[in-house]
Amino acid sequence: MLSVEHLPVLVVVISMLSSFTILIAGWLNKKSCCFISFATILIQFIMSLFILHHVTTDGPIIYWLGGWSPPWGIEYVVDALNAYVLVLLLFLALVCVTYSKRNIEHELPHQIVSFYALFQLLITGLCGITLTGDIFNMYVFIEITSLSAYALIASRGKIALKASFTYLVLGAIGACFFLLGIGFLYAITGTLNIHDLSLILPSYYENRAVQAAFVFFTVGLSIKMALFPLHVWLPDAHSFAPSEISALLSGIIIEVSTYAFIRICFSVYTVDFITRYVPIFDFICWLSAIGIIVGSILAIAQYNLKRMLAYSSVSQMGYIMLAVGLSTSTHSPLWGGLNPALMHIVNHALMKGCLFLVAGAFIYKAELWDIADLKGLARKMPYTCFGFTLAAISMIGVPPSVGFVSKVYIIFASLDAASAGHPAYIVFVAVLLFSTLLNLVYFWRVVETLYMKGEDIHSQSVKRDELPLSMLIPVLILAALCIIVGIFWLIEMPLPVFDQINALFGLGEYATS
Amino acid sequence: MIAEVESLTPVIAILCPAIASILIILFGKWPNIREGWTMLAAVLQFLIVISMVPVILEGNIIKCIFFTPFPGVEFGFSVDAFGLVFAITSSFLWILVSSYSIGYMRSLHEHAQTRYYFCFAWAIFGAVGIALSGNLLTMFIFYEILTVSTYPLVAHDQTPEALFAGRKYLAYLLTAGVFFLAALIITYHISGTMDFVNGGIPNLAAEASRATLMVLFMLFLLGFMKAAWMPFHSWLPTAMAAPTPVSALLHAVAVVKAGVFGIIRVVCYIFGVDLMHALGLGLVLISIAIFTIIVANLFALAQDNLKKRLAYSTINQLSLVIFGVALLTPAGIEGAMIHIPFHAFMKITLFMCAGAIMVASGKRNISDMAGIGRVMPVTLITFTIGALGMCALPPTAGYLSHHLLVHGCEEAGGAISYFPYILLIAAILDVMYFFPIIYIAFFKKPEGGSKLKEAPLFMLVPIVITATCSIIFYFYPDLFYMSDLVETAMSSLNIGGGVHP
Amino acid sequence: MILIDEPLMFAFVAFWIIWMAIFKTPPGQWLIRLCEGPLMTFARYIDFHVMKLAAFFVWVSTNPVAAMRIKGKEVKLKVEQPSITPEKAAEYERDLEEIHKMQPQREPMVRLNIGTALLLILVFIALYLLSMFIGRWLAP
Repeated sequence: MLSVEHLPVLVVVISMLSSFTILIAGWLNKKSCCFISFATILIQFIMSLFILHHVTTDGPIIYWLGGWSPPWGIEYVVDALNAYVLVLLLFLALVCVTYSKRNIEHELPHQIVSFYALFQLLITGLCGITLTGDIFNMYVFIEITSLSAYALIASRGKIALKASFTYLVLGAIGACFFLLGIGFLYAITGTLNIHDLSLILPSYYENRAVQAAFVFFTVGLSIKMALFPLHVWLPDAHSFAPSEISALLSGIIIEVSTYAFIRICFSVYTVDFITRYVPIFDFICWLSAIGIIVGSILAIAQYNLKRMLAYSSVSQMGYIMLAVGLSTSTHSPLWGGLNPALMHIVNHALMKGCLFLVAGAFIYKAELWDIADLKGLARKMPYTCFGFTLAAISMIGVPPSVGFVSKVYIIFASLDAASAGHPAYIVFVAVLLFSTLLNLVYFWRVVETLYMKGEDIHSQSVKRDELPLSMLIPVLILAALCIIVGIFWLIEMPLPVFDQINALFGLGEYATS
Repeated sequence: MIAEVESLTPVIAILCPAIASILIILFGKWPNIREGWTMLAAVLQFLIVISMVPVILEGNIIKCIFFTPFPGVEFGFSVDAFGLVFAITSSFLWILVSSYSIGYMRSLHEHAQTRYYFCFAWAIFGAVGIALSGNLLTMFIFYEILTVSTYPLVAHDQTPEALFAGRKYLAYLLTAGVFFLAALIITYHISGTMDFVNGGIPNLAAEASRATLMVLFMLFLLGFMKAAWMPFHSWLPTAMAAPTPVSALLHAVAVVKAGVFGIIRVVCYIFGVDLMHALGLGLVLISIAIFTIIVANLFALAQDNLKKRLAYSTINQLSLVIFGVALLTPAGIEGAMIHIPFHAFMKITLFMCAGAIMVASGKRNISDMAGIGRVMPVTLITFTIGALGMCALPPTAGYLSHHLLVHGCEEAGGAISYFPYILLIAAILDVMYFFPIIYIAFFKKPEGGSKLKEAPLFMLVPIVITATCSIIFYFYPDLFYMSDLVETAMSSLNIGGGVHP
Repeated sequence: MILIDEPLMFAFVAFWIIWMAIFKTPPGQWLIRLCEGPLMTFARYIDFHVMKLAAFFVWVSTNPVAAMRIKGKEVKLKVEQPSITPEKAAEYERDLEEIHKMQPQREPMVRLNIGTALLLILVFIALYLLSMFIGRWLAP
């Protein structure tokens, strides 16, 4: 009988093995690649559900790779935060792989095998980042993720190569910063294990190298997660990748970097360090507030749908990082601590995933990239466009969608922080509300073009030209979840998982001060 | 003592249009069945809503709570007498307008009818949801649903003009939604509750400074841009690009009434009359209302397009409701509350007449309508009844609410006891722009022979019903329990006759 | 009060009907003309400027940087206006005309080149190092 303790490592291992299997199987039969990938991710997803269940009921899972005990060997530690992100990540991957079958056959007919091999490798990397309890191991997985992402973005060739190269250079710089941070910490503490570090570090908090390491981590991960002034690579990369990869990039890859950031901030370092020695969160809050506005304004300026969505991701990352930045100064059981951030990670994955998949659908059907070309598509592809509309009104934040809930929670968090010693944070309320309006401007433009524009409105005979089911179902699932999960948040908050995460890091109502 | 009755009735009432909308989509290819579902849902909803009346009249509140998103804020319905007034109005008029829509849409061979009925059902879902909701959060959710679902109706024609109207509509109303959201969040942050409480949230005054409360009230007021108070009214005349049934039900009843409904809720159930007095906000509201009443009437005088003229008249009448509630006296608030259903019935008559004229003759401008009353007598007679109501003349419902408002001014005392003269001026202006229409339609000679006839029966019957109702209200204001419900609402509010400073 | 208000109302209606019967045209033509003329002109003026403002935002949003540059040039020319000599007036007019014609270009698809991005990152590192060192020097 397989016990749950072994699942974390299995999630990573079977994913990696499957990547090689795809390479071999694809040699014999191209069609098999997608199924292998699908099956693997499905199994991983089911495992992750078991892990989440186990973690929330019985506490963290700790697994020593090869039986080596921690300071020397690599350790996988799964607590509520990992498990939560892992489930989300595998869910979105499952949706994207379902969608990719027809799309890849159409778009990259000659690269099916390499696409799926890389895709699986990407998933491996992402799972690795979330599961590992070793900071150097995390770096390795970040590199695996990034390398496969570079290749996947470049897979269209031509102009995508340039976008991919930009991403590569900047991603490499980000990884360098991260590695530099690890180096500093290792030089001082002599350990790479996260738990170990958290025990040793507090006595070195005065040390400048330790503080510098933290700043290096921050800058490195800020590049990876496209925090406002370092977002420059994102629009190019996201708009030229194949759509399911765009969906993953926007929906989960930058979020996993956020996860890494949260892990570094609260597991390697502590709340105490962040509030007392390097008070960087205040700065991050303001940066993300600017990012929210600038990202939205730049999104308005776009005429290419995928590029517009990419800029919207910059703005949405601002939401997440704003929520992370507020986490140390809010103490409510509902919107205190990391709750709004974790909530918006899910929400953004659902919304942006759906939007990118729909954008991909338009490209799949008729090579339509520009918003102005989408005239009257709602009559040809009613279900797809309905999905887009649901996700778009979620982005705008019309209740009871997910966007509404996270907006309200972040507003409450900033009000909370404003009344708890940061009066200037009241500005964030205005920023969030204003960004709602900007979102309205650029999403409604698309919806209007889909539904209300186009010739021959009176002719009854428009030929339906709907997506194949294997692409339509993922879109509709994500779109439906945009509403269902929104209602779920309203009903179920405070979630026990979130409670455990806050308790773990001493945030929110568990803050000790 | 107010008893709270737990019941699922409000949910069933809300679900009627929601389920109907799905059926409408499914049966989109068979127009008769599709419209059958609309009618059935409308009738069912009305019956369910009316079935709640006896419980409410005993002074009880029907509650139905689903979940608690934030501590102290429950998502769910809480039906009181005032909410029921609005719910009955909009659900009853939905029946009539559905029938009218069938006639209108089929006569004009409009496109995308399935989308039209689908969105219409959701708009009613939103409107009745607003009426039955028991706190600001629930109200906000339905408020936004109402905004979004009416957009496709406004932009229905898909001409550049209609698209522009739709864009303007959304730009105004979703911006308003943002202000509303800010206001409700601040309310919650200050007082820890969002419930509508008779006489206002008790701890609101104690927890916040005067300036904060002023800002909060302005945010609420901006949030209720749906009430089309000036200078934020210009979406309403522009939205007249929509098909006439939409203008009739939504821009005379559901959407705009949701705005004034919200203002009354905020004044009486969030701030409370005493706090409004203490802050001097009543005068602010009165000034806005008077400005709107007069200027909207002047604008109406200048319009030649019948629907536009009616739109400005709507703006004027909405501000009459705001005026009533701003008096902060029992009679004033009662007048405001009762004016919601009364004006709804009268204005819908006028709009439906305008649509009937358009369907039968294709005429939109008043100056073209010479002699039209002779060929379409039924339509124009009902129009006259509606117009009399707008001018607050007997024997129509408008006279009653006007009477109450004048009474409210008298109760308020001080300088306000001279305000009936402003109402008089408004009524005189009403006469000046409604009577010429009647004169032109009945007494002017038509140019050239016309082969016009009355609009289809589907359209005519609803018009006659609403016009008759507007008259019945004058003799028997308790039709649909309206006056009883308002009395109940007033007695639970329990306002003393205050005196303005 | 009620006694005064409502009879006045009825009196006006009666007056209106009698006036109509005699003159065949509604009373208060001056008011209607006032509304149709000055009042509507004023309303349209306001509306026009609001729409112009909205249109300006749309115009800016196509490419904020370019739009701002164009606007900046326009403002600069307008500031220079008082010092324009009659000889240069024609040239000035032409300049102004040209600027009005300029439209912000749409952003090209690949905007970022790697050099800019690298520079940006280097600037950040420099800033960081600077703050580190200053911090150390200033530290007690």
